[in-house]
Amino acid sequence: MLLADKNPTVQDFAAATSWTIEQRGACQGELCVPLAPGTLNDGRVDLTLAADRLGMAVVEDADAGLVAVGPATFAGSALSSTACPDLVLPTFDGDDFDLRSLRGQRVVLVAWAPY
Amino acid sequence: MTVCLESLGPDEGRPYIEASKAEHPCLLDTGHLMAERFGVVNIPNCVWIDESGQIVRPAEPGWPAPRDASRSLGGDDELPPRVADIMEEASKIVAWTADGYADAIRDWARNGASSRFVLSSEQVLARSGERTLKTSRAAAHFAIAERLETGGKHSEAIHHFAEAHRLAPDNWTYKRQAWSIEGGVEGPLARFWQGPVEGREWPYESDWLSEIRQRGASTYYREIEL
Repeated sequence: MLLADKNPTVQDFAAATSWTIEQRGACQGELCVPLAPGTLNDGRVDLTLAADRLGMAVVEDADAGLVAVGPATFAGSALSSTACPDLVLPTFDGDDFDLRSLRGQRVVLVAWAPY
Repeated sequence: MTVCLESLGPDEGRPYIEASKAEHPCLLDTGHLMAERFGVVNIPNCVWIDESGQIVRPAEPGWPAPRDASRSLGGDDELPPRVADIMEEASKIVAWTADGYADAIRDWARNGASSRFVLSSEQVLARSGERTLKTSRAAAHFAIAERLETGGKHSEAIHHFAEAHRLAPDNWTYKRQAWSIEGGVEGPLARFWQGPVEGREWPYESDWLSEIRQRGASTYYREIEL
């Protein structure tokens, strides 16, 4: 996912990756991965250090002024844990919908496309 | 609920949503964020999430028995040769869970955690698909491609789409999204053409028909067991 730069805020990093950066490490649900010293500074994340620890690829297109980070790979599988990743997306009416709002119900999430 | 993986925005998917008179939440995912987070590499795919927010079946090709897609694409009209070839290959695609997937969902709806279709944590992780630094890099390239494409920089996006294809060759969604943007013939077949058109340059090394012939239709969806 895209980031504004290689030193994003903790909030931007979480929105892009679904990993929250805390003093105890990078966390997703109950799972926390220890981080290298210096990863977290004044509410900002050193993307290179965090990505290296989580096994995330970083790709930069300098001409376009874009930086993107890929998903974590340290677990070797697409899911690092069975905890449902956070997901907030717009509906076709344009309103944001948070998958968490369906907690308490069984959910079948169907991915499709018109192509 | 449904998530439409479509970088071109809501207008492409809206007719399908309206035709289905959907009452469930219908979301739009221009950046394929859901696919990245849940490990979707081809569509359609289903993920089961229980009441407490635990995934009990990871992304898998949960769809009903194959149908005659030519009817929805072209009616009774004669299809262009390429589309007829596409239909022939599509008819060989194996829907690993075709028999009984809807019944499996009903069983889970009735029985919850005691349903025999609920997988263990180990099974969920193991079945969620391999993820490597290469596929992570592919996702980052795809994200850049999507931003460039939606920003009107189509020719700049192509390099990043192609890199995503090269780095994650098993990811059909990356390919189908990029190829379908190129268009083809006019009309309802345009998004399904996904390959060269006479008189126009095709910017990718492969296309849907060449790719499925090379890889084999039986590999189109990952083999799984209910």
